[in-house]
Amino acid sequence: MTRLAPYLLVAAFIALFIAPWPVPAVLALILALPVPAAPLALGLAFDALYGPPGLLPLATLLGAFATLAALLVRRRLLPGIMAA
Amino acid sequence: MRTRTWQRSKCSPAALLSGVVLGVALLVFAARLVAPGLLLAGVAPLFTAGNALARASSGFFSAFGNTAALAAKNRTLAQANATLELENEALRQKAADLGALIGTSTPATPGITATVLARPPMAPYDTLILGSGSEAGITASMEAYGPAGTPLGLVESATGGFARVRLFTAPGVVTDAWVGSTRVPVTLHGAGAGAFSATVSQGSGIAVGDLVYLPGPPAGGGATPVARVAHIEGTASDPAATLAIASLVNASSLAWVVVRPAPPGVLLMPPASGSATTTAP
Repeated sequence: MTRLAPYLLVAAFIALFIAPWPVPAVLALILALPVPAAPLALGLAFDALYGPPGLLPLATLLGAFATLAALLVRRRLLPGIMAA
Repeated sequence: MRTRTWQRSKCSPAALLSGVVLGVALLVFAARLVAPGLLLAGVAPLFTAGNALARASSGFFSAFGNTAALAAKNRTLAQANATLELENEALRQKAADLGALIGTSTPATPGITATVLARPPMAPYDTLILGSGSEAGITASMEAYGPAGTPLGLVESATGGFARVRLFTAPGVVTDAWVGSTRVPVTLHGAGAGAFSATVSQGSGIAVGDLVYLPGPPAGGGATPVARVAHIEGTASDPAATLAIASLVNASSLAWVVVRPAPPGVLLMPPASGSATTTAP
């Protein structure tokens, strides 16, 4: 998955422009573990492109939440799996 | 054997990728804050490519349809279209005759036709990104109209070559409208995805299928139907009923809009709660 991550990242950024929003959202979730900052970055780009001024940046907030969750998983679960 | 500097580095591929992608995203976000027109000018070719891809894929998948059935459907639609054109022309002429008789005819305000670069569901938050902006005469608070002069939303911001329109169906947008043949006044709350919700008192006489009207374009004949009541929630014993209302225009298929000054009284006024409010005259 780490080898595919750069290609999926490029696909996710391109999907922001050519695909309905669930597509980059799903790609962001897939990329969350190999690239923890991907959901936050995609959320930031999403709100920068489409977010109306004055409105809550929902995509950024959800991306930040997904990034935090991914970091937690990487810190707690992956070392446990590797130790096992 | 001496290890190279990059081998001694503790930067994992994940951290490197994270840093790069976060940097790109922050750059895009900064561009939106500092130079929004420049950002849209840079990504406009991508929007155009996306629209072209959507059209091409639609044509590709439609080739798998039953040709005979498609031809029959095409003939039926062509006949219905011809009939509607005749009826429309008759009504237009009737309105012109009445206006001349009463003496209140007002020339229609010319509008600015703008291409839609991004629309739902690609652009969430029920916004449209237009390919024309202040250079074409589009300014904030102008109103965007779809096919048949249907009011769609208000221009939120306009840069040199681009503009953003917030649809009336966007969450947080509140619009005053009328429902049904008796023009019952209601307050529409945007629910996203081309839907509204409204609360009316029981016994208001509103039924499923009733049309919802907004002020139309200036000199366009007054109230214009924009949505239809799809569902009514609530029992006869409840004091109020909740209307589920579906927009007549499919924002996902908009290729162009016409932008005109909003009718008098239709303003985008953010109330104290922070959501946007439009008030019909």
